[in-house]
Amino acid sequence: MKRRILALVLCWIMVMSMVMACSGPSEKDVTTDVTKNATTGEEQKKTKEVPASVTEPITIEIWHPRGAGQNGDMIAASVEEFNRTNKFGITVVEVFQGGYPVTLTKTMQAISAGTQPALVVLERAAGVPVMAEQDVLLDMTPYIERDNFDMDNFLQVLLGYSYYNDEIISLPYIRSTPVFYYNKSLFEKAGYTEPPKTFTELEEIGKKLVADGLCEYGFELLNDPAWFVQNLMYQLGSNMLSEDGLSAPCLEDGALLSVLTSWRKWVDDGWCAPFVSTSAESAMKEQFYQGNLASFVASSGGLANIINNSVDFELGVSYFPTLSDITSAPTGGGNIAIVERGNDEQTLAAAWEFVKFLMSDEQVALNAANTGYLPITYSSATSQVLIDQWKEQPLYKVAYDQLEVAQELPWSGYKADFEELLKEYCSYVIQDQSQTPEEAVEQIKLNSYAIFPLK
Amino acid sequence: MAMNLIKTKKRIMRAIPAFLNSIIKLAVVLFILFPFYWMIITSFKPYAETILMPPTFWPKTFTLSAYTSIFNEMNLGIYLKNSIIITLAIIALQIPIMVPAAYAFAKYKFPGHKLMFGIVLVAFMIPGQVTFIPVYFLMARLGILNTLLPQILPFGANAFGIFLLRQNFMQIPDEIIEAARLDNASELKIMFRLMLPMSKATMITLAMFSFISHWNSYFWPLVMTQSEKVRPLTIAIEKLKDVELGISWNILMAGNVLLVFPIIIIFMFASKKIVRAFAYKGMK
Amino acid sequence: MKNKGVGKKKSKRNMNLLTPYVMVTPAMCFLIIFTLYPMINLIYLSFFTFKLARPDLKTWVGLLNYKFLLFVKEDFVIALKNTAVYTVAVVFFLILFAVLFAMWLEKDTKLNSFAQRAIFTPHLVAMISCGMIWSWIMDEKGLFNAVLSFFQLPGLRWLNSSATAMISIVIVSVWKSLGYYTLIVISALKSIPTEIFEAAELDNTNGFRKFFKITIPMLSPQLFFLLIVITINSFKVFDTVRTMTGGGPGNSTNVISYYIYHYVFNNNQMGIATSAGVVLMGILMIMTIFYFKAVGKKVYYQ
Repeated sequence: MKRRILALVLCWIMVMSMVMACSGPSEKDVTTDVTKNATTGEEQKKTKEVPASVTEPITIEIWHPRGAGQNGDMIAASVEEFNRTNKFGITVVEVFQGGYPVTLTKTMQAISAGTQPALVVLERAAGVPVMAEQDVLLDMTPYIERDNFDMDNFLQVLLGYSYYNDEIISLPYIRSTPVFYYNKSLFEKAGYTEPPKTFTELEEIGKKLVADGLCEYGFELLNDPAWFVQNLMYQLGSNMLSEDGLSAPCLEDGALLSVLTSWRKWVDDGWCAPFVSTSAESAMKEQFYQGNLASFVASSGGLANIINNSVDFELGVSYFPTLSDITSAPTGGGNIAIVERGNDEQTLAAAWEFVKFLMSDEQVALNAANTGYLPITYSSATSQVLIDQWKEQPLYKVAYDQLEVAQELPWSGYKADFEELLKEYCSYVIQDQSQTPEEAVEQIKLNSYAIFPLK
Repeated sequence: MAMNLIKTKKRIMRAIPAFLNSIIKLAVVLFILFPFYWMIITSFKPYAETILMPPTFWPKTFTLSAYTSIFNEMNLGIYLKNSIIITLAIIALQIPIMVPAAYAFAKYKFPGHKLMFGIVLVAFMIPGQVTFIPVYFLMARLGILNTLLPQILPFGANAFGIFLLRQNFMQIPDEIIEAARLDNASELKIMFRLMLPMSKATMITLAMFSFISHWNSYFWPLVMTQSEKVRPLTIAIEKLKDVELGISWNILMAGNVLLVFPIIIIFMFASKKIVRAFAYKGMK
Repeated sequence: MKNKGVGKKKSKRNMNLLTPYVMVTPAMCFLIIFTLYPMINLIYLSFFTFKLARPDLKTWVGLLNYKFLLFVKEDFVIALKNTAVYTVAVVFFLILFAVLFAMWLEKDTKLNSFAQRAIFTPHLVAMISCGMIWSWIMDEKGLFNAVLSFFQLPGLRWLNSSATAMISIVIVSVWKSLGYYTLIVISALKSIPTEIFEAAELDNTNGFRKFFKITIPMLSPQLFFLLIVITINSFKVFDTVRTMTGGGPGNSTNVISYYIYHYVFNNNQMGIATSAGVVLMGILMIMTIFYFKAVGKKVYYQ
């Protein structure tokens, strides 16, 4: 009898552990919050009600990927300034969560568990669409209208991922564009005083530099196909994704094949370095600082660091070279978004105040000046901070000027998958050199049937 | 005279292989130690020197700038405190859970023991990448996300530990245990007064293994912690790799040296005891 | 309970029958909550497609994820193959070197005790720095190729070629864990009663016979243990791949745990990630059964 009781007790303990464990996120709770918000939203749309202001001191969190160093210092300074000066009593807490993918995943995980932050910094093309399509981001339009926030002040090319279904769900924040960095001293030694505008010119320079023994490689292109390969295909009149985001025109019109063939030829000819497996970007920049690599393309966000480390030679920065007569450059970086799901009205209102603050001229200028990110608004470009910086170090202005020829990738739910595919095969063609561009394009075509919807 | 010469010659002939053996041994050991050495000297170089190819095997410029950067950039105190608490708490939690379980699996043939041991093994095999999302939900539901518990509780039952201890206990002769039982010793006493002391080496091995693997654990804290106040040292290093500024080798290595430093200290003090404990196992 | 004497014995026996269950309960609770429950949750979720932030919107798709994973996508099968290759290689080399080193470093000399401690140090260093240091060593202009050229051999591309990337990762893993397993084998060697060896000496048994007929069987519990532990740890390999190759070049070093991680964090495809996790679990369970049935019998306990 005792034995049976004890056995039952033990079983009960084990079962209870399972039951307790099995209670996942209370879907009912979260749904109620959403219904509440949804109702409010609907009400607003129906009656055009002005969203409430912050009425009491409140603490909110912003999750971001801005790591230690100047990047993290900048957001810490912004937060401190806001906490000190805002008249609502809002306290913002900034929390580093990891790189872009980790920050995105943790935010999604938190939303479904009910522990979400108020604000999040997402990679514009890889993060914002994923969140927007799950209907968890706040439509900032009511707040924008209430406060007469000027959307035209933004550099329009940076707004590609701000709109979704006529809602404004994210704003540009830490944006960058890839520029052409080169070792001016080496170039001059080979007899070139001007940076190349086209890849033909670059090829000539690169070959001469290597032939003269001035460096090991004249140029390197990293495996970031959604940026670099996409830009090159754009210059050829095609694109990585179609306007409606449902297919990949570059597969049919030969643009991808052309780009891969050119890239592979540059590597085979010996003047373009193939990228490596580990920390490719750091490894590439190191070769540059050493004088082994004469030029490369990379984000403008790293400019400050590159300037610091280019000590033995004169650094030059210019536009991304072109394969045709169309000069273009992609943009990248992160946008800021407000999480609607699970957050109450006061939290959303407070979050909006912080967003507004970050978009002020002073903040935008400081953000750009201290890190190398782009000034995202027209008005900020007239601020003294930036004018001084551009006068003192003209290299910083190049990225901003290049925005005139910037292009943005069409929104697509298939971008991530297709990019993966491109990355894999670029690796086989350029790094591993085990496939020819033709073979790779064939494989990519085959695999893309599993990605894009059938016509 | 001649005999002495021949004797010496013989001794030298015998000594040479031993000598060569030692040299090779030393070479192999130094080779294995090399990456470790490399980490340390890199942390004392300025960044420009860390990327030199061919590299310098001793810092041309000896500097503490990497370390000062770290100490200025982040509040290491909290991270260090968390790392220590987490690892010690895990070890403390594991002992009362693992020892009885290992004992039961080793010395009892109870119905269902095969199934349960199978569960232990399968649990051992599942990587954290598979389990973190449901566990996160559970922690959120329990409201303990802002504590150190999510980094401690999931590791209470260490399958590796149970397995190793069971292995160890199985080698303890049943007669000793029977004798103790006849003396009316409770199972508890048997476990902690009899079997544990005989498994000193294993227990130390386990504690060490647990300490090292959780001290260096990176993925789990990364996905389980949402606020700075519960983060361990390994996350500080993740922060050092910024997405735009890239990797500064010297700072990264300095971070890793700081991470490994406490373990080395413990290891240096404890290694004599550890080796002795391992040797003790030989004498039954 | 008529007879008190018999009753007392009976209840003591009853308590004895329950004791193992009591002793096992805490461990089982923890394992059930933190491992079994997530696994069951995973199996359940693998029949749906859903996005991480909105589990309430999940839609039932039955076996679609599995069909996709196993028959449409090629990379999962590649990841499985890579994991198998990695595991076999690491198990083989680790056990081989652990035993060899153990015998080499067994005797109680100053050099040996220094060596034992030294080869243990890689285990202490976090994988992230190991990865970086080794990527420098295996750089095409790094230490390894420098040594090769010293012997007039051509340099290899190590991490940058799909042919050699996996071997490079195996080398790093073996280097990292060697010291730890060597120590385990050394302690096992020391526990072999010396009388057996003395008897062999008297019989004039040669080295090889001694090794295969005495050392190995006496070590078999530890070797079996190492076999299981190393296999299991190899299946979980993640940090090495994440730090050194990111699964590349192409898919040549993509292993299961990295595959799952990648599909959660980089692709946000929960359907693929969950079904891959379930397939992994299935394989591991089959392997456990195999190990115990096939190999467990050959182990000799003292």
